[in-house]
Amino acid sequence: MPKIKINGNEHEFPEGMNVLEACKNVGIYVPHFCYHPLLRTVGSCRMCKVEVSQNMRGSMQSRIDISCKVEVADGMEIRTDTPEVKKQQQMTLEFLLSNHPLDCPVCDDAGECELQNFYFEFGQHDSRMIEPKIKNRKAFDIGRSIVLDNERCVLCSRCSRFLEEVTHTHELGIFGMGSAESIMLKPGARLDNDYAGNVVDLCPVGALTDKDYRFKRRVWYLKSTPSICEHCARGCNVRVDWDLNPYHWHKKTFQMRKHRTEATDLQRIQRIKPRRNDAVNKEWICDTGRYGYKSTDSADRLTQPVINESGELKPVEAGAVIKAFVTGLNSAIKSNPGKVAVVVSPKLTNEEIYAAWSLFRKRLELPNLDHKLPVDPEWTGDDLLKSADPFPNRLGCEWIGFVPDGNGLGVEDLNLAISNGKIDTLLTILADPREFLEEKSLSKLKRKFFILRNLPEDLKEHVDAALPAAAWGEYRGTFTNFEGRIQRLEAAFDPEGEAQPVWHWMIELATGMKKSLKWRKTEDIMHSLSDHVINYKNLSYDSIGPEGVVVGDKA
Amino acid sequence: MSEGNGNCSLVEVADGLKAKYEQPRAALVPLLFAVQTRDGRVTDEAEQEIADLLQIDTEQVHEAVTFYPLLSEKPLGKILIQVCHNISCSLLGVEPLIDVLENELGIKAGEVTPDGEIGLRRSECLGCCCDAPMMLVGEKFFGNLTEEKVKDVVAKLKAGEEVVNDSPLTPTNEIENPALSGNFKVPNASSIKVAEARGAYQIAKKVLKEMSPEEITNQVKASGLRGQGGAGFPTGLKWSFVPKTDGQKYLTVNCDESEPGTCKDREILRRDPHKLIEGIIIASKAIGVTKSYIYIRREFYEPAQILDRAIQEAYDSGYLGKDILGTGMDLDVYTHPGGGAYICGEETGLIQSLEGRKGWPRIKPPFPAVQGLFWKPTVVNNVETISNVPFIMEKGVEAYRSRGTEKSPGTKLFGVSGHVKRPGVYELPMGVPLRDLIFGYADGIREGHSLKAVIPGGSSVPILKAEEIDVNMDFESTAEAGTMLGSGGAIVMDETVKIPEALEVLSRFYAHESCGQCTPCREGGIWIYKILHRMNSGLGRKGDIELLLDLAANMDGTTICPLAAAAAWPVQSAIKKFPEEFEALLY
Repeated sequence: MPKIKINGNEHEFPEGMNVLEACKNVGIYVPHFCYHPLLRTVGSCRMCKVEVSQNMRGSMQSRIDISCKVEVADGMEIRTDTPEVKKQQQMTLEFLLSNHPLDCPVCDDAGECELQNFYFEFGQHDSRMIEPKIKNRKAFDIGRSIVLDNERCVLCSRCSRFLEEVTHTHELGIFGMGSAESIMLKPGARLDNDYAGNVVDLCPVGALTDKDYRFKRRVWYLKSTPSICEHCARGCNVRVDWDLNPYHWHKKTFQMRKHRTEATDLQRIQRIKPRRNDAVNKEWICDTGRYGYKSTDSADRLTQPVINESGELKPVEAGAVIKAFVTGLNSAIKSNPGKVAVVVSPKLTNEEIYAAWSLFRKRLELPNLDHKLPVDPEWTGDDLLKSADPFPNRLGCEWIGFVPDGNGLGVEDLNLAISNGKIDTLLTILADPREFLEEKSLSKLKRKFFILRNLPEDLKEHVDAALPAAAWGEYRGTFTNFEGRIQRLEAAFDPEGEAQPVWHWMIELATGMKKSLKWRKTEDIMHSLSDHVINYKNLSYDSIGPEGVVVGDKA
Repeated sequence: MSEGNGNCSLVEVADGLKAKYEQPRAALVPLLFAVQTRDGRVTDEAEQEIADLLQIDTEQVHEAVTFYPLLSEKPLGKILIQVCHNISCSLLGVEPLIDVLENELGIKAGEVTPDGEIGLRRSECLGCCCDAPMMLVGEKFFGNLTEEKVKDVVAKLKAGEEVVNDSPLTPTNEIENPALSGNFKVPNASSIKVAEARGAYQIAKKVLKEMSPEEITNQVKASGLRGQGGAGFPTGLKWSFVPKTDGQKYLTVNCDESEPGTCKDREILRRDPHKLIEGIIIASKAIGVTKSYIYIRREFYEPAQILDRAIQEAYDSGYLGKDILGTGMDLDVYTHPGGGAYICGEETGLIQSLEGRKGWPRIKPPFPAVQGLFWKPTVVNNVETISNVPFIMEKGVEAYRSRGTEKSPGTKLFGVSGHVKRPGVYELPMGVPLRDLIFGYADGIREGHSLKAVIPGGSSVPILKAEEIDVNMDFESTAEAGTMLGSGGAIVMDETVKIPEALEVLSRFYAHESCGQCTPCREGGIWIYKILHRMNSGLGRKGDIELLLDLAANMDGTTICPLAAAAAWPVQSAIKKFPEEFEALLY
């Protein structure tokens, strides 16, 4: 491996690595706009200059070069701190800012804009531009979720390279020549592909902004929490950007919470951004995942335990619902454990599945457990990221064994089993039973218990009792993706109202049924899980690295 | 013609074009010209049609359409008048002529007459500086324009009459034992019969039969021939960089002549195209090439027609094609039209353009000799460079080196344009004194005026004051004098010229021709132009000169290709040499 000196210190780097990445690896950030590790290197912004000294025909020769295009070579010496390097960085910024509108006060990117940040770190010059600036399109609608501002654009071409090299859809190009060129849609096109939102992440400035986030929140108010997308089996690594402040200002009443769903600025999750994980999603996410966070703060969130009292759902203490669950389940089990069906969504974490399995299979020995919810016929996968399976943790359900036992009934058997009276009690966790039950089956059931995040208005009539579940962003745990990769989700904020993660309700329910489950937190469940399920052997939160860990037969 | 027929013929055109190239995309620009000729502009539908034919995305087609100045989404008019407003033409008064054209046509430059018949637009250098001022009317050339000529042409166009080329032969000289211009004064030398009678292809025949590729390359190396496009890189050395493998390699001849002040290659095409073809044959043998492309700027309508005819004749006579002259060597030579972008004269910009992309230069390495056209080893040589090869092979190294200097041997086509009595293209030994060129061959400054300044080698090289012209025109002497030989096209200015105004014209050119890829060039070029324009409009401010110099310094050497530097040098040298003229604009 080549050894090179960076600012006087010697380091070793793998063959073929460029100097920009090498510097980054040792904690020296070289500013850049056009370079992106996952896109073709074009070397056009001229921002990432460093001093490169190399032995040429027996003597050390120095030059200023772009670090994105120079590969590390043995004996090379790099300096990122010479006056000439700083001067060239400063002048590149001056050129980039010469026609920039400087509308930072109304720009969404302010605070995370590379042009702005670099100016403060590397620029710090007074503007010498007094000529009329080039006028260009502003606030131009180019797609379902994307707005283009050509005046802010630094023509780094990351967006067009992404659309060329990753999605192969080519909606945007750099059209025109020289100072007249600008990023624009090709004739007749709209930027509406499933991965369109990524161009906003790639844009180093505020030229491409996201309609969903525009003017919602200043970025410096955001807190970020690492998470895993729950919208398909790939398990893309994401970051939840959230802000509670306005939420606290308005939290006084239930009405205000309802109001929040109409006024987006009262939502807690502000946006979803991809996190880089080359083994899973590179640094991309699909728009389904990007904009799929809304149910966390939507109007139909169930935030209190409810119980059906003469046709109307009444908010009650959690204990009352647990009691109803216990009574109902016990009486069904007493007549025949086969009378009960428990259906969970493969959206549950491994910990939640394991908690549910521990209670219903291990302790209560119920035969009719299943997770195989039907797949929405509208859902299609693709060959980039989107899996054909829209659930994040199907493999976890299978490995843990949340499936019918020998003679047990699965989801697809339920309509028949209900109509002929074999099953009369249904507990559904994080799913709408109408997805797999006909209306008449649902009506025929004697007991209908739910643990739900969202309770749509038209489902209410079918609910006997329901517990509020923590929504995405409110709980932690792990998912097992399609290839057996275990990845961790962190909770961004506390669950809404009285909602709790499913594993918590499992413990409460177990306690109510005198079948104690002695866990206090998700780590405890993972500990049990790793002891009892072969594929999770020796796994702990600490051993799941930032890229996740592939286990089982797919490891 | 019905739409169906139109499509049908485009498919045929596309098939014909695609056969010329390793990758179908390379047919993009020629195809776009075909649809533009058909439809009067490039429509979105036509872009789709071409994208389908070449199996590329419409975005890639649209990028080319919006990049190349000769392609347009808007109607250009049935007949497009393009008037050069670059340095040599503006020195000789093109601006008043543009006013005349605007008045006569009743439209502004950049517009089309309401009936859609005639379009008028300003153009950057059209490579005919020795015939300045000049314009193109459709594909027809009009040089040495006067008000009467312009009015006459407009009257004819309005009357619906055909106009014919008005391209007198550019003045040249006689030289003993000419390497390049031997046939320049021979009538009809572009016809193969005449050329053959004067010995064309004899030396190619001999070389192909008797010499190995190494021997040819070594002889060219020994001759000291250097690139005549401006950079002066040793030609034999360039050839020797090409890997000696069997795979496909290319020779690409650069005829994108568009450095203001330069109009030498055009003379070779018009007056002795077989010399170039013979040079290509010999060079192809040396490099091991079976396909050669001549990238020729599309504005050279007449020269390209002459060259195309000459190539066809060479095929017909067995000098090109399969098994040339029974030697077993195959060679196809194709011409490829440029899109009107100066940047495509840069070798990697040219390669990108030939491949059907925008002419955005590539980062080197890899150098074209290793990965060039279609990522295969490629030599890019200027027309004049290649045209020297037959002489070197025929007369030998000694004869070539007997003229010129040790490091800049041989003869060169020197152009002189601007305020001289006899602007022209002269073949002279390297190292000829600039004074002789201007006051001897070009017959001195126009009557009643005196020399003020000379840009000796194409617009980007540093300017010389009248008292500095005792410099020999070779690579080394010019460098010593603080300027460059460049392409050898001297632009002569008399005392009527205001240097800041001349510099504004040049800065407008470089700002317009920046490909837009690198930040300093894209932003710096237009900034410099705006400052100069403001200064020349009477709004110069204290600090402008320092700002200009600083911006120029920040553009010099900070980009992928040398265009930014070429834009910076004239600014630096003009301010250095004529500071008082710039200071006078400040208040």
